[in-house]
Amino acid sequence: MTTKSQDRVNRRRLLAGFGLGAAAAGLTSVRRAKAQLLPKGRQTEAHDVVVIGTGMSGTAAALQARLDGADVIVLEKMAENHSGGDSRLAGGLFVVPSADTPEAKQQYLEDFTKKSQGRGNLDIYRVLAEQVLGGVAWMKEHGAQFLPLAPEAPYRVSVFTAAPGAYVGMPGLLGTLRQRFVSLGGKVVYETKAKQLIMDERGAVAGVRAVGPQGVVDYTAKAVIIAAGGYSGNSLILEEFVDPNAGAMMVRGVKWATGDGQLMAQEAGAGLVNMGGLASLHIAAVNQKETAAGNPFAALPYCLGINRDGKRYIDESRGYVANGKAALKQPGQTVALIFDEEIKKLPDVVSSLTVFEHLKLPLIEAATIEELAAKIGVPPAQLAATVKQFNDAVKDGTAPDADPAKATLAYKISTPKFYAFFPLVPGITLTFGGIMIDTAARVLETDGRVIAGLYAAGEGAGGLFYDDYIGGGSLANCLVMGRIAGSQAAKQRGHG
Amino acid sequence: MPRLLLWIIASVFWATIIANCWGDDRSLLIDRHEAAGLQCGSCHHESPPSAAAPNSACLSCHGDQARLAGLTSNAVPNPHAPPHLESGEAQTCSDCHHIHKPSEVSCSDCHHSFQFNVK
Repeated sequence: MTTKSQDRVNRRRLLAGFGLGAAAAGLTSVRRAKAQLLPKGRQTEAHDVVVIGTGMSGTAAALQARLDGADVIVLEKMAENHSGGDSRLAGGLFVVPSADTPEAKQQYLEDFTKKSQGRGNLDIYRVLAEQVLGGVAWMKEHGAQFLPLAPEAPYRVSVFTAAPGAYVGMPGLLGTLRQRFVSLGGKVVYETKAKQLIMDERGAVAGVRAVGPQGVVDYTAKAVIIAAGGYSGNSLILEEFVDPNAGAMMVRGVKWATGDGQLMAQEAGAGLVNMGGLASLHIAAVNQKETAAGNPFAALPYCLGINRDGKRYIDESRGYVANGKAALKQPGQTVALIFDEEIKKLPDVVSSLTVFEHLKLPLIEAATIEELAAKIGVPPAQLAATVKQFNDAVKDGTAPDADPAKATLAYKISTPKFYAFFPLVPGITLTFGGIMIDTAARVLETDGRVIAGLYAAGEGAGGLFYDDYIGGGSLANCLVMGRIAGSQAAKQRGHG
Repeated sequence: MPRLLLWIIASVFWATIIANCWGDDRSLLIDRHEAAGLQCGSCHHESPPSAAAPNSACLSCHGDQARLAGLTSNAVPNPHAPPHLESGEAQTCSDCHHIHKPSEVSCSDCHHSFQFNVK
């Protein structure tokens, strides 16, 4: 969320130099919170289900568990006006199969698998493919509103975006679902931080010990759902698992996503998965002040990414995570996305431009490529040569002979005016690693043993993605696995 | 010695000035509401209150969302006209304006460029 020091760029250079994708030298275990020092709560509250976190997964879990008849309480460590975690900042895209057919679901599964190099959580991808359309319908049933289904270029999937549009809909969507939960008798307590899990003599999780405004409170339950998000705000975890320099990186999400859920689950014996190296991070190149909404993700695949040398550095159609990670390796870690008057008219580009215009973010304009080069501080002759080389290589919407090649959505940059989203710098959007779970959202130990009574869902669970993802994949996961966690947890009422 | 004495006097003088300035900047909205003659029950409908007063308590004196948006129409972007609201929806006043503690710009969780002088 913030740059941590003046020497950020230098430290980032080090990061690039140390070798991208390589895990930190020592994957020593992260030092655990000392929550076990807490005394027994001075108050005890008994519920069927305790949910930790008010983001998309926590909200979906809580509402589903309540609908299934459970007495549910949600714990949020932040005040109400800061609740919602990374979900509140998100673009609001839920990626779904393009139709409710086996073929479309198969394409969804294949695109997800390919994007994660076959090293994501394929079991959960299958669950998403089957259940996410139903999940969106369920949110609509409870009052959430979406833009009409739209294709998500260049993939073979489609996307529902929370209304009224990208980056503006999530606060309202979360509020609507939370209001529904409360109207059904659900309870949310804020400024109450879950510190440790309570386990019973059977080795099952039986509640949460939390610290709130009145001190330590024990919330006992038949089941606990960890939906506390990722760890992008925890520099210690980043430094230990990703890269010794990763703690200095700019964080786009909420700075209080500090891995509380992962640490708490680990204390109870849970395994963690896909935590290593830069493959465990979602990184995007964004405006350096509006780090959340200042991400022209929809326009990106149609543009040319240009570095400070005036050269292309990535196949832009690979999407914004690949672009963000490539930007880490560019001189000065600052890049531009350039396009022309014709490209500017494309609906996906208009979508990004609308966000930038509304937030008064810079859009560079120029009558010629050379003038554009001067305005974004790159050598004019080189940029002109880069554009010419690319234009000459464009053939039937691809540019296989360009350097680097562009697989799809290749448009010539030839019609004035010329434009640039600039400057864009890389930052951590969210984290891919997390608590090991199965497709029923049950938390697992590293050897696959189930920890009874404990469920996890959302950004911080599943190790869903590896290296890259499809935009809207994380919220789709939060929705589907959150609902599954809620439903499974509610079934525990009859046990124990 | 006289120089030291002079220095001490000057320090106390400036410390007093600075403290007063900070005092003004840090005054809470409760002071203004009390000065306007409002009692706890003017805003809170339970005693003791368990939460911030509802929007209706604020809007009954300060006007509706449209009026507030008009008051801050010069700010860019207008903090009382966020695109996140659906038609007819009102913001929650207490998200930013606090009565018993300093107010805050809660937009800045996401929008780091927003720098409103919130009262």
